[in-house]
Amino acid sequence: MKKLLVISLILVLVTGLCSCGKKETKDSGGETTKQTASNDSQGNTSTEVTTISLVGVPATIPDSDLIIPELEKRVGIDLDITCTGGDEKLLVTRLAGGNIPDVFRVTTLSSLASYYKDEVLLNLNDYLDQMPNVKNMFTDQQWSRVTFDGGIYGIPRRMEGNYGCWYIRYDWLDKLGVPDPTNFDELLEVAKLMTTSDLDGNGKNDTYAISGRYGATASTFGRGAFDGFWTAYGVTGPETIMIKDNQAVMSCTLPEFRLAVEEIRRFVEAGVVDPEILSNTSDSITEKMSMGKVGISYGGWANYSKPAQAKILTAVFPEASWGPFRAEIKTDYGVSGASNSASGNDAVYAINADLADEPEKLEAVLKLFNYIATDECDNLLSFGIENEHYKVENNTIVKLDKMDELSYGWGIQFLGRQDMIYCMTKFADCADYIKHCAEDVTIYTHYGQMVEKPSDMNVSDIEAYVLEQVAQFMFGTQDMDKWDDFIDALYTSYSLQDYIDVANESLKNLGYIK
Amino acid sequence: MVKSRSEKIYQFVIASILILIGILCLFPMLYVVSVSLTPYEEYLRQSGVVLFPKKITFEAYRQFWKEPYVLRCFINTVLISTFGTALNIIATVLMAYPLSKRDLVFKKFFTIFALIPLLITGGMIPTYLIVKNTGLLNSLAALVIPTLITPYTLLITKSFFSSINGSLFESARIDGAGEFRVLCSIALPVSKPIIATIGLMYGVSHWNEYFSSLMYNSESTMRTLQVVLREMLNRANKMEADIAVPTRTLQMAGVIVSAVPIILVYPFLQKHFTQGIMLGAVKG
Repeated sequence: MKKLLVISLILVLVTGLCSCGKKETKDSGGETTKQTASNDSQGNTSTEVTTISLVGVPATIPDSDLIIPELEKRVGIDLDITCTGGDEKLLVTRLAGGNIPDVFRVTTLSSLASYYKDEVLLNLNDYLDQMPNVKNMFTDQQWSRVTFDGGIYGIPRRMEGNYGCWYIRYDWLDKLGVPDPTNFDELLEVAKLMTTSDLDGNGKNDTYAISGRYGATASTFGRGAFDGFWTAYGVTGPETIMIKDNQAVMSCTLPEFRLAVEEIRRFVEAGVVDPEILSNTSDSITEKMSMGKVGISYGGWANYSKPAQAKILTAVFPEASWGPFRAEIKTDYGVSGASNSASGNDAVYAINADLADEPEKLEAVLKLFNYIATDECDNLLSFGIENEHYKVENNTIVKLDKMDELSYGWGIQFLGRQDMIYCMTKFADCADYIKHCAEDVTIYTHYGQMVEKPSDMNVSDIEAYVLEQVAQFMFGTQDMDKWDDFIDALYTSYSLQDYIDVANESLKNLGYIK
Repeated sequence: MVKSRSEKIYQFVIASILILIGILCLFPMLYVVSVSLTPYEEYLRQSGVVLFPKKITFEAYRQFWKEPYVLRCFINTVLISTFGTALNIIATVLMAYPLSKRDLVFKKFFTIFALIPLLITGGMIPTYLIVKNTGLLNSLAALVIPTLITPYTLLITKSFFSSINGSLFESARIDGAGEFRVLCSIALPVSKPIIATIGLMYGVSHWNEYFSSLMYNSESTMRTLQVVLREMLNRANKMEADIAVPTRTLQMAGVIVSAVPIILVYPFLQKHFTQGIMLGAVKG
């Protein structure tokens, strides 16, 4: 029995030891402060550094990180950062449980609106003057995205450029001796040749010209398999909200969208479209491209052109030459390009409303964001520490080898980054591709992520229904004669008009609709 | 006994079917192991079909262990799966044993009280508040204490103790043993099947701990392996210039590291497991 007691005690002790976290002192108001020793002119006084809890960083910050300590040093604060991988469940629980972090990342504008209604967000109207750099960083339209009933409840994020476009295997095009396709008839001919000519030389009929990943536009992250088709007909993904003739519309209800579906159907019937498009994942597409099973795929330069990715794409066929379409596919309605959300990256940072009663802490938070919005901090968060991760030559930032270690950097760029400079500096090997995607590819904008979702309807149900039905029409399991019934069902069974009315109102408030 | 020809054919067919099912079950595991040991270029060259690796490399494992906090989180998982499970067993036994006694005062009340969570759970936010207010946030204890005794395991353990012949306890008491002595020297030695069973149930549940770790432990160093694994697999879906999508071989290495240790425990406990579940389930 003694043995059992001893064992039990040891176990309890071990568990207790494991529960040791970092040492913090909490004052009566719940404010966490950290004692740091500092030497003043008299010798041995200590100062209290305010600790700011920040929840929602989407990347894991490694132990070896030097950037956050440097930021803390420069601002004179202590940051207690919680990485969540972009999962908002932890934040929702903490908000509901009253354990509200000082600063938190909200992943969608709809969530921001809902937290505003729950009164957990600080109205920044009265404090923007204390953050002049932040105030000047964003346009009125960007501020209006985070404005509810006249109050500003979040700090927006700078938009990133376009990364996506159609990629094609040029060595196959050369092998076939055909020119770059400029319309869908030519593209279909090229696709048929790629599918039937056994260009990978394995003697098997296992190649499909066109592949990619089909799904909700917000979750395909630039790998929308049919973005090239939609945009060529002047529309964006089926479930997205567009503005046509100064009115909000769901893309799939437009007549041009039906034409795009009929076009895709022509390709599917010709047997040139990867039948696994509905189940492909990001890595399975790259693998298929590498294995010679695909000749054309929609994706981003970050997926296909970075040296590490390019190495994978040429692992099996060293001669494989993947590159963005040199020519655009044109129709009477548009040009094949890319579709981007008007909101860019939706995530914004918000501040706990309770900080209004904690002036010292609030001042520290405002000071932090004001510093983040400076060029000096931009360099720190984007490129690291000078002479360690980068050096400056002729007023230009030059990458040093150690910059490659900052693969988590995107997660701590709290207000976004100057995307073009960032990408061109960090991924100089891809300069041509970066420029092409950002400047040459025609961008079609959709606005659904800017719309505050009505609380009495489940918009994701509508979106799921649209995606599923459109897939059936594209792959021929639904007859095109039933297209009008599908559109009718959206209005009758799914109350699409109510959603469109809300979208019109939201986009009008944001200034996108006059 | 001499088997007839038809019986032999019958046995052969049954054995063949079982062997086939066994191979079908083993195939995915073999595939995962093989892919994790194959150089990624080789995996691509073989069109992703790798049953037996031609070249073996541990590069994917090296890469996996280089992921931020993976070693620390692995240790956390091992700690909660071993010490946590031990605490679970001790607490469950200490509660189930008295509840199995017919003469326990308010036995019915305590039993119903303990079984309420089987029907109605506390919910995510109330549980979070309890964990927060008891100061367990950001500790491994937060992954063990809230589920120290689960009603289902309590129920089967109680049923198992009830099924032990009462005269065993009676004779110990006549010899002067107290209740604790009876529990330790009489009840526990004959309860190996149920201890193995609930140990396995608690152990597996701790090893797979994901949600609680994400909710209660905001510090990266206090999380479990499953959180790291999910973060790694999720990275493939993020359209960020900086992100390197983990290769299939790396993903498989992660799966092996996170699954094999617990799979290895099964064979040692399997014989007790079936026995424990059956006894605990049908007698009461």
